[in-house]
Amino acid sequence: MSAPESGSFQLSDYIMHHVANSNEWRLPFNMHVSLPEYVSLHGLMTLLGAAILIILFTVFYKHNSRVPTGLTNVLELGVLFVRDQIVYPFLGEKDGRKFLPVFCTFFFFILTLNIMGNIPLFATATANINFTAGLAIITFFLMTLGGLFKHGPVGFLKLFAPSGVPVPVLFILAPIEFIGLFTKPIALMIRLFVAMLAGHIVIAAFLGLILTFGIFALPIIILPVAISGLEVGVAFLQAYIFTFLSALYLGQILHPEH
Amino acid sequence: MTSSQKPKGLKDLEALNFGYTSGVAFFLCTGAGYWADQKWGTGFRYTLIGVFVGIGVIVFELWKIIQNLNDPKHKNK
Repeated sequence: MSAPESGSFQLSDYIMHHVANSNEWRLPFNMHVSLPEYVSLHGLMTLLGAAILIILFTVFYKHNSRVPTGLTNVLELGVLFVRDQIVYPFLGEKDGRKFLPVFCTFFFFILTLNIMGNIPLFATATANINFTAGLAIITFFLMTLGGLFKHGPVGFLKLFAPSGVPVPVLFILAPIEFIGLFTKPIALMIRLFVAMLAGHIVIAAFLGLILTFGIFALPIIILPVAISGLEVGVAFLQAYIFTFLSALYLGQILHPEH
Repeated sequence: MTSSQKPKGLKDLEALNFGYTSGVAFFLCTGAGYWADQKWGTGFRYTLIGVFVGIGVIVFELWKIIQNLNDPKHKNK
């Protein structure tokens, strides 16, 4: 929150500082933590998110309780949601059981990091394209390796040749289907990155108006507050959409007949 | 979960990613064509081919989504 009153203040720099990655963690009361070169702010948030999840599912999750209560109940609700609404409908019970841990990790990890981005003190790691690219690469390898193991190399290649299509048309359709193998994970990557980045830029832009125009723009504070509420919904929605589309794409590879 | 227990309208959500998928497909194909033109100095020939392939991918993806949404089995779910 450096010196809006100084002559060198640039609104664009101020906005980008709140969404871009850096090696500095800004804390309340103007305190800074300089991070070492090998870990950036978003990297640190990723590690923190992973630590939070590990603690939640090892310490607070009561494995032995017959009737889940409290936090165990909430966590089980999330796991059952991913299982019954996302994984089993697309992968079936047999394959779904194998892949359920991956999709639960996707859902809870993205959700945790998205929510952390809405809490002051933390940053949004999911608004970093490198992070979303990492998740999309996992989906890509799930699709390719899952397809190769399930159908074998020849069967996997046959997936790109839709059945009942004349051979001359196949020469056009097969490359188009093959391009789809790459476009789907890339679209996943961009969707999550853009959705999380855009919300923060809009909030920062509205707050920037107050910094620029001073007390006259104060009523506009309602808008960032409203958008922050919307961002909480977006955090859940984007975690759901990423997990859902990953399961859908994997399901299309594993069960092309459906 | 049996197929009869599948949440209704789940397949409709497949259309969710069409915008992003088509944008990425067009960008990838056109970008590959542009790169080829720059590498071999062939004017705009490959860029143009990339544009048409990109449009082809978009039309094919759209066709698949429409076929899927019009599938009678899907409607009865």
